[in-house]
Amino acid sequence: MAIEARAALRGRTARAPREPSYRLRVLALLTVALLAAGIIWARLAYWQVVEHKRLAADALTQYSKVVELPATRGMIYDRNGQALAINETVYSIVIAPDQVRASQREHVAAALSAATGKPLPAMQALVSSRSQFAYVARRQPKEVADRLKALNLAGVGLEPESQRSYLPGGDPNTTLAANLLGFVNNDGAGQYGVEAFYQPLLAGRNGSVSSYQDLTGHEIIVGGETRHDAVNGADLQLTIDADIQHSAEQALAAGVALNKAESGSVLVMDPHTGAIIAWADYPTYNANNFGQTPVDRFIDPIASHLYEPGSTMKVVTLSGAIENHAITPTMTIQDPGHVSLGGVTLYDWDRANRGTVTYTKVLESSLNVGAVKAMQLEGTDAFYRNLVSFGFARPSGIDVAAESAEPLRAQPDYRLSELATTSYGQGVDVNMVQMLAALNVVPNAGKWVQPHVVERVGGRPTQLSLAPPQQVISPATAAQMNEMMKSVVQNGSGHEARISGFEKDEGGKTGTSQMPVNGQYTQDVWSSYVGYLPASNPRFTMLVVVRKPHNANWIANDGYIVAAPIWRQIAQAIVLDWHISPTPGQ
Amino acid sequence: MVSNPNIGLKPARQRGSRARGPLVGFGIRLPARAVLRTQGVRRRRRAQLRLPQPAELALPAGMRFGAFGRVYLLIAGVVIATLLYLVQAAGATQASYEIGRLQAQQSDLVAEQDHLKYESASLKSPAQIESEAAQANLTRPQPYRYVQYADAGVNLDAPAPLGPDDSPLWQKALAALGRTVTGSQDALAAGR
Repeated sequence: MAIEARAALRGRTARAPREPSYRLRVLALLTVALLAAGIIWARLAYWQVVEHKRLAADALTQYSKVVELPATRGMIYDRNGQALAINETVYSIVIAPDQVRASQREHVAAALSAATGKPLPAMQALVSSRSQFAYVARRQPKEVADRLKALNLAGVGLEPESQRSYLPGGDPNTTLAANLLGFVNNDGAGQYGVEAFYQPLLAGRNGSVSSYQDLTGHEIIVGGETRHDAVNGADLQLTIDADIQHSAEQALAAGVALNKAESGSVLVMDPHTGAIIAWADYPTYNANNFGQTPVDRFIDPIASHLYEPGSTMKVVTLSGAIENHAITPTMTIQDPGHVSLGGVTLYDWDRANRGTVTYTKVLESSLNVGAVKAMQLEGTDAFYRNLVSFGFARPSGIDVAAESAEPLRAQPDYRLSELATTSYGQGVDVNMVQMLAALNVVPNAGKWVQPHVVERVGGRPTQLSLAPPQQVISPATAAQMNEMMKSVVQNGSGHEARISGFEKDEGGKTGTSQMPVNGQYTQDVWSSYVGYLPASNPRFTMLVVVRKPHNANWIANDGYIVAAPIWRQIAQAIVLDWHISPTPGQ
Repeated sequence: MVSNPNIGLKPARQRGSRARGPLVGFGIRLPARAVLRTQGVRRRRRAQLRLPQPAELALPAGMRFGAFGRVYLLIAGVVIATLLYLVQAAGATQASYEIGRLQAQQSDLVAEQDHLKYESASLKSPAQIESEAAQANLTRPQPYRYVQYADAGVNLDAPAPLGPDDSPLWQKALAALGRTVTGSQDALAAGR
């Protein structure tokens, strides 16, 4: 059996060698093919499934393009439709130095230097830098851009940008109402003043359009684009009169220089509506070149600085006392030149013994003792309430950014001597808008009106411009105070503010207050003058404040010498521009 | 003529339901799960049953498509559709380039307009007007001088007082004669 099996085995081996199995080969080939295909499939699966999101996102960034549609910022006009702030297109010049051929570098550098006025060596260095991107010059005017466009320089491009432009001001190298308007920075955000206060309304809302682009970056507009239109900003119509603003800036600059003062401000208001007609500061700045301006110049002294108003506050004190029947214009008091109360002695400005004086005389000669006695006659409670009703307990609420105010403390927190000094405007801090609004109560028949600088937004009146007036004192009290303030101009310290033809028809009050430094009053003063005209039917109320005048002597720094002439010069310009006539019979 | 209404036509009633109308008398019931047969299957079945075939639309031989003819036709249709799409896409792309160019032109014009607005406002600005006035040797006028009026005490409603008549005698006589004749005042006398 085993022998047979071996023989059979031998017989089999003796046969011709068997060919490799066809099926095995096919199987092997199939295996190899499957392996190869598997590798490819695996790779495909990796790229198309695992990496799908990333690659899709990369592709999207290459062929899709989201272009921002910038909203146009609203323009700012004055009350007569004169544009004050306008949008201009300026151009940033950019270069890709690596795209400028060596043979062209000299030509490109020379052309850029000629167009922008930049030194040739700097341009040569820039063009030869081989970097991929660089700014040649930012915010260039259209003329420069047009010149460069015509030259068609290799590697040089223009990026349009929007820039806010402002009109020239009353003083060289300044812009009109710079401190009031503020400016718009390079990011399109309003800074300071009206530009900052009304930023959301002026700026509008940017839109966008997402579309596709070809390999060269050209937009393929027709296609599946998604578009969100921009909402343009609203135009503002201010209450400012550009002509009077210009006159005020000029007169203020001259007055500050004449009196060697540190700075000065002018605020002119419509007495019946609270609309601000002029808002001037000196020194001011060039809003078209804000990048080169010291930051402290941006801060607006009118709304953002506090000052002690001095004797102009006597108008408020005496108005309240008359309203509360504590005094009358003809009532007399004894004024020995000083008064003691609350453990302190307070003096008139010249410490002179004037004997018996009327309250009209108190206002004419600006006697501190008279103001203190009026406060005493009225009572501290009534005096405090009076301060509150004249608007000193809160900010004025004017529509300008960054208004500063120091609200009154609670009445029990005031010592008697503090209230006494407050009666003649020392020891109390106010801003100019608060002060002018309070003083305007007299020419406006006893009504406090809301100060505001913007009349309309997008053609619609603002809430502030529609705010109802508040009756602070009776018209009869206001009329008595009006006569007393007229007497200040005719017989008292306001003589330097007399306007020809209106001598008997204008009211005013001077103010001079010492500046405190580290708790001690110094010889530096705020000199101020407030007045209105014509007194019988006022067209404007104006407050002038000059800070730190440095004239020959202390008396020469007084409000009637420093501030009143500035007031007169601006008032004359208003009388001419507005054709104001004196009231017959006055 | 089609004798069997079940051939080549949609069933007139629900399958499995009893026939109505002209088939009521035959009592034919369609199977509930009948398989809808194609035209070719029906034709073969009719041939096996020796039933008459329905009439055919006989096309001339030249107009008949072969097996490849239909494929060619399909390919041609696809090619034409593709070409049409490409032509449209190219046209759209070209139009989008044109729109882009026009948009760039529009933004240039808007920039020009903004620039002109600023120039216009600058030319009307108080500073510019003052500068031009100075160049033209113009100055601001002196402030008005107002004169306070004094009440003259004239009663305009009262009759005008008669002044002394110093006209020549012959004129007086002539006027008196005229008044006698015409019965009226002369103009000169009325004006006084």
